Amino acid sequence: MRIGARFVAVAVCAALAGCVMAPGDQKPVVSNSASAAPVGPARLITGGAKLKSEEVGWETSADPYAYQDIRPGTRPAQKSDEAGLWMVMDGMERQLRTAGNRITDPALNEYIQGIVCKLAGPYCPDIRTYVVRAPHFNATMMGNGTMQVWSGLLLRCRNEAQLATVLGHEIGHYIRRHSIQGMHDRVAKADFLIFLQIGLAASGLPPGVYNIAELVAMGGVYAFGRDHEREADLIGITLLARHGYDAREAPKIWAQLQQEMKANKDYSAGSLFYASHPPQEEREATLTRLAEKLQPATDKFAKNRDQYLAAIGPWRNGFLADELRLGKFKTSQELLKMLYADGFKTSEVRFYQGELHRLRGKTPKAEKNEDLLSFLGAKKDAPERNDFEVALEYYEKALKEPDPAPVIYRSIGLAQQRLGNDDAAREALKTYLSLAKNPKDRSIIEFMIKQSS
Amino acid sequence: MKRLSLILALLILNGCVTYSLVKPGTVKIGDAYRAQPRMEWSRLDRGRSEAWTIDGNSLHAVEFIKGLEDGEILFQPAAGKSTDNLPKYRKGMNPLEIQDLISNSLKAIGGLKLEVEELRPVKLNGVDAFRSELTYTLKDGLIRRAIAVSAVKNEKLYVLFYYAVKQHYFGKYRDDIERLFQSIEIL
Amino acid sequence: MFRILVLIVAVAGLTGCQTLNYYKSAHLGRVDDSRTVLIMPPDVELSELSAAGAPIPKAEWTDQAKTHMDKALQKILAERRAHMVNYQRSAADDDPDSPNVQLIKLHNVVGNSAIVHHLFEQMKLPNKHGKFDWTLGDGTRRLAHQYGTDFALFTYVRDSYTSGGRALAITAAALLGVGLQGGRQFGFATLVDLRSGEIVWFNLLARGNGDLRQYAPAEETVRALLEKFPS
Repeated sequence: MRIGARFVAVAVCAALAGCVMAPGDQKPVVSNSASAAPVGPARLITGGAKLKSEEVGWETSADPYAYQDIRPGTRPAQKSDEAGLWMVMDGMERQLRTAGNRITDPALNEYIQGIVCKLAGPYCPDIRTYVVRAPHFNATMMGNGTMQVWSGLLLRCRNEAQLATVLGHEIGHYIRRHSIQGMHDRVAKADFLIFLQIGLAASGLPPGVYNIAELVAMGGVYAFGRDHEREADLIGITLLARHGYDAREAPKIWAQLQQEMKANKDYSAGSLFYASHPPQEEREATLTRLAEKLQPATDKFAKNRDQYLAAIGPWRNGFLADELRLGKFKTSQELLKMLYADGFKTSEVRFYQGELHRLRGKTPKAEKNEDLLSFLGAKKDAPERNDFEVALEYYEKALKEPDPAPVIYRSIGLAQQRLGNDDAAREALKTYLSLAKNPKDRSIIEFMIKQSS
Repeated sequence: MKRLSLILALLILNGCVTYSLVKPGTVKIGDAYRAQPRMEWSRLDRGRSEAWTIDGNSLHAVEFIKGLEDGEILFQPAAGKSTDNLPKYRKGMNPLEIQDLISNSLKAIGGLKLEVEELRPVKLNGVDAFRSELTYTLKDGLIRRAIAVSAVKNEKLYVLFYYAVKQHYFGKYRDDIERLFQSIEIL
Repeated sequence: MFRILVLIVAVAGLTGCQTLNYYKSAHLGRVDDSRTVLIMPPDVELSELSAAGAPIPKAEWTDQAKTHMDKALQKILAERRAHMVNYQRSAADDDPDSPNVQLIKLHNVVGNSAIVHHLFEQMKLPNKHGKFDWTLGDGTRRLAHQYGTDFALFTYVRDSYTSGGRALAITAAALLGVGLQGGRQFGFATLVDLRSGEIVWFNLLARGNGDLRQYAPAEETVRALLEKFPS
């Protein structure tokens, strides 16, 4: 369908007498010397043609190696489109340095930058990592070497190998210059579109036809994006294995994310046509196969769980609170269950399981209307039990785990009060005040205790 | 708040809404409050809430939340964003839960690095209320401070939320805000 | 930050409700040889419009523009016998809580507020009674002491140029009676009195011509930007 549309455009363009895309905009710009098969550090890392594995289904017929790897320590030539892109990204990076959502803690930044440096090898000085307080599973790479790691990702990785998988993937985007490829492709598609639209307007076709052309072109843009993601996955797992990490940890990230997302039955992966990433199942399957290929023998490779937990541990409480604030009860619940099973700081996790219920605060009686809806086939949301009672059970469990925090008593107090158990509420709040260090809500709690006596 | 200001700007340019003058004296804010401002303000009525400012909403403003009912959200998100997962007021909430509602609502519309200073009980013209002070930033990284005074009357939640850029602006109007708050009656 | 302002000005242009585009404080007086102006790093971006109108950022043009603007500013301020000092970036500029960083962020928000509430009739704040009264507060004295300057000048420019493909598309569309936009120049400048923090002058520029890639037309743009600059 894409080829057909392009044919139309060409015909239309011919009719417009000698139409040509703006000179220099679409040719791939190579930032280093234009040898057909460059050798050197860049090629060694990506392995060149070796990575174009037959096991991965590339969607585009275009040769992704028309764009060569960036050479370590280089910037694009000043006159190039790529330099313009870097200029804009340098500006965005300057904003990011002092942004309100950046975590500047030196220890955390050094830990993550250290992993990036190890994986990136000669590219280490070219990549700057920023840790961002954002409660979603995400990491991004800009063409100029600015990498962002979001706190939602740090919450979900179970060990260093899993984090390294994602970091290696982002490094792959940098090495293979996907940003400029993407920009060229989008410009080419948009430029193609406008001549198509002009041509179609000239032939008097109704507006609906423009939409199909746009659809086709957009599908094209995102397909290119998906191949970039596949390539980045390949590079990521190669770097992972090369630096002694357990490559079998790579597909686990996707399995974990899938398990979390599927807890919400209303979740849909989004229209395939517009998706900018390959389906999670495909990524998981491909990475599993590649792990087997790269490391046929098991048990010899590093997961570095202890190092990871030591670095991320102090932050997890805050990241969990961020997650809960999103109000996504089902997926957060699933995530908490998985984290509990993972065994780290179980008191915290139990506490947040309780908080999840307390903050939702639903009681079966209130859901009478919803029962009717569910009878009519609509989604069933009514809880079986009172959320405050369930919350209390989790808080009790949290108190039995190692190192329970005083704030658990505060939440017990709040839940008891909602259940009308004023004496129990008072006791819990008093316990909280006696255990907590300089609580900011001391005077209001004392007031509440006095009021209820 | 910066996003609020953009939406505001676009609404105003489309002639939907303009600021009107608040003169010193007795002023009604919907059916929710009566206040005695001692200086002039510019007010913007947004239905569920009303905002007063002197230098513009991106720098500072008092938000008068006009009595939330069970299940309602506190701050309006940016246009186009769903309110499904935003924290909601539930009748029967106690001061701690209400403070959590304020903090979580602020974070949900972009508040970052939020810290709550002392939370303490106060009287709002005879009505039991409580107040807290907050420090936060938005994505632009500029530090802001806020004072929140909340009270529940007839199962509805009333919140006075004053925010200002910390540098210069918070201090500039602090005394005026304290006087204004002391003058407020919930109707 | 000022992207929002560009959007608002664009909308205003469409709705035709923009009134003033500059302000000068009555008590400002002259900026002459008794004064020094701190030039804050200009926020400039030049781009080329692809055939479809997408702005492709151009690093080389932007570098040239910054050099030309700097030279033009020197020349124009020298004509007014004011002295010029450039802001120096340091490691402290990477710390979000450092005073200078907070001050620059504050200028963005105050500047945005000042321009939006002053320029557009429907956004005017009645309590101001038409008075232009916007300040960063006297925290600006830090900068005054650090650089020995009386004023600070902030500039912001976004400039786009038509490519061959865009020119062709514009022609082709025009033949069919469709108007496509060519390059546009948008910029504004503010002058802050560093002793009081007051914004004492600003100017807004929005037009379809202007070229920052060569020195002579760049000087013309800077003159337009500094039109009615106190002297």
